[in-house]
Amino acid sequence: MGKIAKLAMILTVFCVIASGSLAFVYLFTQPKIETNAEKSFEMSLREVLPVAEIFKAAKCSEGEAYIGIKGDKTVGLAVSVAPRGYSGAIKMLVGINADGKVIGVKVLDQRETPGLGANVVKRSFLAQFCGKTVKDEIEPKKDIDAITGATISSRAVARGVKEALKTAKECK
Amino acid sequence: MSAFDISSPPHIRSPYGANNIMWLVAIALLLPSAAGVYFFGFAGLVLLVFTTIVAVLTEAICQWLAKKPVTIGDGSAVVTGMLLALILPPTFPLWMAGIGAIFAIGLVKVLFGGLGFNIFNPALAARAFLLASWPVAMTTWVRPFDAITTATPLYVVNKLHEAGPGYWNLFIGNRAGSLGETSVLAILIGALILLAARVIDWPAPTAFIGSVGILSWLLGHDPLFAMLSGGLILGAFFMATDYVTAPVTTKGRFIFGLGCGLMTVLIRYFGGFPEGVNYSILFMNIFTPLIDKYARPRLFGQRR
Amino acid sequence: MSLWKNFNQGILKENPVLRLMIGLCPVLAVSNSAINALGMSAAVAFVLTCSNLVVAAIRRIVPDEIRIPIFIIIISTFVTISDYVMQAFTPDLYKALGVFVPLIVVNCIILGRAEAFAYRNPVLNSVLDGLGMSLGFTVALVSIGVIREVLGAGSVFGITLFNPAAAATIMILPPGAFITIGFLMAFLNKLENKVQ
Repeated sequence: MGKIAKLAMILTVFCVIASGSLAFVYLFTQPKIETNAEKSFEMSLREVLPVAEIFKAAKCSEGEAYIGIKGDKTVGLAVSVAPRGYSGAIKMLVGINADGKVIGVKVLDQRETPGLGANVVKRSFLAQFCGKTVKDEIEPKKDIDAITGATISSRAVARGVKEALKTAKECK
Repeated sequence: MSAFDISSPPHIRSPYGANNIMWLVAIALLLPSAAGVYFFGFAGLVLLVFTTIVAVLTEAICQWLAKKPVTIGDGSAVVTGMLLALILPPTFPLWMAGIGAIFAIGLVKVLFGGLGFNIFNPALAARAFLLASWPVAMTTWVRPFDAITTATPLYVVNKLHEAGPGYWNLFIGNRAGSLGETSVLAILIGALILLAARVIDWPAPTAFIGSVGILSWLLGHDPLFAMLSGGLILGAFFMATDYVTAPVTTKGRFIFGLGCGLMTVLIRYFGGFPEGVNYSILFMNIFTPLIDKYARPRLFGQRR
Repeated sequence: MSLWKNFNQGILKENPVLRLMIGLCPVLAVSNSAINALGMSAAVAFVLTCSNLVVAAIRRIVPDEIRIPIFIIIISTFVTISDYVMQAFTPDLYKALGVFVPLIVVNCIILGRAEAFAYRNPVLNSVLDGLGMSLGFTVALVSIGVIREVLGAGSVFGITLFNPAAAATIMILPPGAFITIGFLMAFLNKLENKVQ
């Protein structure tokens, strides 16, 4: 009994020291980590919707979106979508202006095949979606040039843009 | 050579030695090769000769470096080189094809111990390697005769859901695809020669092609199209019948063919790739030792 | 002399990756580019050296029965610290390494050195052993990373060497890791045979 109590004591002491030092490091790094995350997300928002000055979370019946505001009027919407690609979800942001036109697309996170599907992050591919509206077909090999050899990934991104346009109609 | 050949079991009697078999296969492969050159032109011939030379040279150099007897005379490297060219797009860049041939012989065959010890079919493993390395070049297909870029019939039908070419064109080989996989007619004649000479036997190809046809029909696809398109006929007769990487018994070969057929159907209709023959055979290669273990015929008098 | 040996042996003779073949999981997973390999090496070096130091320092007050849980607590503390620090100061690298930073906890090299070396040796020797092993890990990981990045993406440390379209993509995919590590091990074995 005495032996077990002693071992437990020693282990407890180590755990307390470990938690203490971790709490200390956490205190120092956490603000930095949070601002990093916020900054990179806001940079992405600005990239897809450059006209807006500030962003506010939008109320949508489904999906997630941010209203872009300049002065006191709404200039557009940045919709967050995550279509299923070749290997896992492709997280992306789609910027849509007040006329319902796509003005910017950015891929935030993806796990597509390097050198192939991963090429969907390329500007030359994503730029093709600019100017599309909910009325357009938005279909690789028709009005969009697919990434060679990566039809599934290209289609996923196209599907994401279409979904974003649909979501945007139901956001306030 | 010693007076007695000492080899590991199974000792299956055959009228031919390893050398003769491989050269017979090479001769049978000349038919689909000729069809490929006829449909895809001079570039196909260059590709074919190039991969064959690279494959043979690689084997010779590897064996010379390892200070082992050079056995390029057995024709197995020739067969690997020819098979590799036959399953590549006809306009595939030569230097990439060369690396594929080096991979096939150097890594897949020689590093595993040479002829008889490789786990995977070298040509197919090299094709998988090339597809992962240069996916764009590996999926650039051309139309016969005029070499205009197009999609393969399997891709058109399975992924775009449009009508493919007619059965007759599929049968004679007038369609886009790998150099030697398009002409079912030429492959069948070559296969018949090998069947008649008893170099290959029927269980694996029949099970393979049959299961693809039946499963396609069950899943509501056109079974005849499924059997005629892609690399199925070439793979079934020339790769699923490989002496080294496929099971040795009739029952085992039948199981092997069924497994290949099932995997092909799964990849074609549910997977990301339009064609699955390549991966299905490689996949079943892994199971060959297991199949050999459980599909062994019972010895006379042996209890279960 | 023996101090030098403690440091030296981890680099080639007992290289953790290419000779002892431990800690292969992160080696195979994050060696797809030179920069990822270097980042991972830095994290492992930090954790390994610090844990060796602490384990050697406390080895006399730790009862035998509970040494493994205590090692794990020490190691995971340092892993979590490096995790926070990377997240705060190198967010891009952190994103690229993903789950493999927290997984350093279960890396055999670290627990292995704590148990096999630091628990039985003085602080200075243990620190040198940690540094040497880290250097060996770095050498192996970065060479694999450089080879894979050059062959698979046509670049090194992000600097383009030739047209990426001509690079063999398979080399930055998982099979490329196995092929590269196999050839490196063979090369090292050949080298040793020659020396003997």
